[in-house]
Amino acid sequence: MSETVVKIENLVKRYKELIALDHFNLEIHKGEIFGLLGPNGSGKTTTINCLLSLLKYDKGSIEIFGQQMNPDNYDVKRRIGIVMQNVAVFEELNVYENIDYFCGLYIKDKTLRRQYVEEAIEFAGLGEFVKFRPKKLSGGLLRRLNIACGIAHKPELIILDEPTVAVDPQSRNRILEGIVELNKKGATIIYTSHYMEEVEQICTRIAIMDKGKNIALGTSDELKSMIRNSETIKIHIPVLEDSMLEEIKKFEHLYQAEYDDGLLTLSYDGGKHNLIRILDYLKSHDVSFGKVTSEQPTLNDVFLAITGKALRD
Amino acid sequence: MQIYKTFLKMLIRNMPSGMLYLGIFISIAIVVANNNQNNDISSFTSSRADVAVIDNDNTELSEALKDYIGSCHNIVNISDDKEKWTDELFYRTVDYILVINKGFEDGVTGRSYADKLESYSAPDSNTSYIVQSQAESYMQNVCACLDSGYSMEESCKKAADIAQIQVNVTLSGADKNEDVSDAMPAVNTISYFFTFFPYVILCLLINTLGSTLIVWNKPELKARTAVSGTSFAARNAGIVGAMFTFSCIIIMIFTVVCVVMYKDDFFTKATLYFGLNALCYMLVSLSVTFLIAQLSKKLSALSIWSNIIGLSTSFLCGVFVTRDLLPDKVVAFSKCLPTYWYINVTEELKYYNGSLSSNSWISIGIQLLFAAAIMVISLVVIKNRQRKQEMA
Repeated sequence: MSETVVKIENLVKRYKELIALDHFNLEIHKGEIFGLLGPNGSGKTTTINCLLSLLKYDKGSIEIFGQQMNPDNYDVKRRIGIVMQNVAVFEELNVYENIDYFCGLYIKDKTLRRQYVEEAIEFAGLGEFVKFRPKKLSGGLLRRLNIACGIAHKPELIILDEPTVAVDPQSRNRILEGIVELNKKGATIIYTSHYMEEVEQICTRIAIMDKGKNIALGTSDELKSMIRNSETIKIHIPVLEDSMLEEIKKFEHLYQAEYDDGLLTLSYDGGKHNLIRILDYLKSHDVSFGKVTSEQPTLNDVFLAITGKALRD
Repeated sequence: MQIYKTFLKMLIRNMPSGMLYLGIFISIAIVVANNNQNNDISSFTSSRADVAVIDNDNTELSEALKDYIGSCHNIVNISDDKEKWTDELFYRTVDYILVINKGFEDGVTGRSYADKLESYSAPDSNTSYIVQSQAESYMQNVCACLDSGYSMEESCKKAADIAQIQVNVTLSGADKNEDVSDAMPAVNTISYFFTFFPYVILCLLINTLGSTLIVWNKPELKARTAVSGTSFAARNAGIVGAMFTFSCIIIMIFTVVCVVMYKDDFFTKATLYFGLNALCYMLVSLSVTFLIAQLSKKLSALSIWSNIIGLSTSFLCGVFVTRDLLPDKVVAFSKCLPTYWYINVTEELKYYNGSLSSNSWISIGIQLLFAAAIMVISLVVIKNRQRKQEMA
C-alpha cells in the first residue's frame, strides 16, 4: 500500500450548537487526486481549514506526511500548496509580483524562485498578463492566478478548495487539465467541489460528505456500485398497452419499470445489452417510439440513494 | 524578507495618497516661514502719523505741545478753514487734527483745559487713538509737574523728557548670552513647522500605512499567508520592519524639507528636541493607524477616519488654533488626547532657553504611554476578532 499523506481520525468541529465535522475520518495516499464531494455546508472547507490549522478543532487528530499537524509545524506547511475558495491575491501587485510573493513565502533562493514563478506562469497560461493587476483579469484568469500562486513552489500536497467556482467552461477545462498534469508530476491532490462531474472526471478516489460526515468513500465506480441502479433507459412511446408493460417488467436485471405520460422509464441493476433487448422487443411488437436515452448512474444518484436528497439541493 | 519587501512595496505604492497631505504641509510651512521672516522682532519700527496742529493759543505750553507731537509724528500744515478739514481727513492728507483753542495755557494753570483742546480724526482711524493718547499723557505729565511746583517752562521740558524714557524689554526664555533679535526668530519659525506636524503625520500614515494594513488584514490573504511556510514571528517581523523602514522614509522626507527650509537654524539643540517630540508623536500616529486598520474594513473609510481624527484633534489641541483662544472646557478635554501633550512640548520649545523642563519630559512620556495604550487596545480588538472568527 502506498504512503499515507493525510490521515484524519475522529475529527470533531463544533460551531456553537452546529456540528460541522462529526467524527470525520479520512486517509489520503501519495499520488492520489482525492475528491471531497458534498453539497454546500457539508463540511468540506471546514475540513480543509482544520487540515491547515486555520481552525481549531474540538476532537480528533490530523497527521500530514506522518507528522501531527499544528499551526507551528512549518516543515509540513512548506510541503503543502493551497488554492483557497476565495481568490487570495493582492490587488496592488501585478500577476508576476503576486506569484513571486506567494512563492517567496516558501522559496528563499532568488534564482530558483524566478524559475518556479516563470514555470507557474506558463502552467497557468498567464504569460500575456504578467504585468496586469488582478482587477484587469477576467474571472477565469483570476482563478488561474490563484492556482499559480498556490502551486508555484512545487508542493508535494496540493489542496484545491473549489477552484472552479464561477469559472467559464473553457477556463474550467484548462484548470482541470492542469490539476491532472500536476498529479502526473508527482503531487498528491485534494480537490473539493460540489460539481460531481469535475470530481468524477479527475479524481482517483472520492469521499462524499454530508453534515460533517464521510458518508461514502471509494473510486467513482466503487461508489456507483454501492447503489442498485446500473442503467436507466428512457423511451418516448405514445401508446403502450398494459400487457406489454407487464411483459417488459419481467426482463432480466430490470427492477423498476414505469410508464407515465408517454415516457417509459426502465431501471436496471446490472446486465449487458439492456438497450438492444428493449428496442428489439418494441420493434418485434410494432410499437412506435421516439427519443431513446440510456444513462449511467452519477455520483448524484449515489448521494441521492444514501441521503435521500440531491447534491445540489 | 518576502513579507517585508512586499509590505514596503505596497506602502510606497500607496504613498501618492499621502503625498497630498505632505504637499499641503510643505506649502503651509513655506508660507508661514516667509511671513515670519518679515515679522521678526528686529524689524519693528514705530510708525509716524500725519498730524495737523492748529495753534490758536500761541503760548509757551501750546508751542511745547506742538513740538512734542512733532517729535512723534509728521506735522502737516493745513488751512485754518474748518470746512476743509473733513476733506483733508477723508483723503487722508492728515490722520489727525489737533486744535489748541485760545486760553489753553490759562486753562491748564487753572486745571480746566478739557474744552480748550479739540481733535478731529478720520472714521475708524487707529492712529488717532495713539496720537490722542500721547497728547493726553503729555498733558498729564505737565499738570503733575505744575502741581509739584515747577514753572510752566520747566514742566514742559520735564514732560518732554519723561515722554522720551524707553523701557528695555527682555523676552523671557531668550538666552542671556544671545542677542534676542538673533536667537528668537529662528526657533519661532521652526516651531511652526513642528506645530502642524501632528495633523500631517496622522493623515499621512492613516492614508498610506492604514490602507496597506487593511489589505493585509483581508481574511483570505491573512489565511493564505498563515498557511505558508513562513513562521508567525517572521511574518510579524516583516510587517513591523516594513513599518519601521517606512517611518524612517517619512522622517527623512520631513528632515530634508526642514533642512531646506531652515538650513541656517536647523542644527540647534531645540531642533533636536523638536525632532524627539515629533518621533514620539509618530509612534502615537502609528498605533492610531494600526487601531483604525483593525476597526475599518473598507479602504474608502480611511479618508473619513483621517479627516475626523486629524482635524478634530488638531482643532481641539491647539494645532490650528492657539490654545489661548480655546474655551477652558475644550482645553481640559483635550488633555485626554495625545496631541495636547505634543503641543505642550512645542509650545515650550518655541521659547527654548537651553534646557527642556520636566513638564515637557512628562509630556513626551505621556505620548509614549498613549502609543502603548492604543496598541494594547488594537491587540485586544485583534484577539476578539480571532475569537469571533473561530466561533462563526
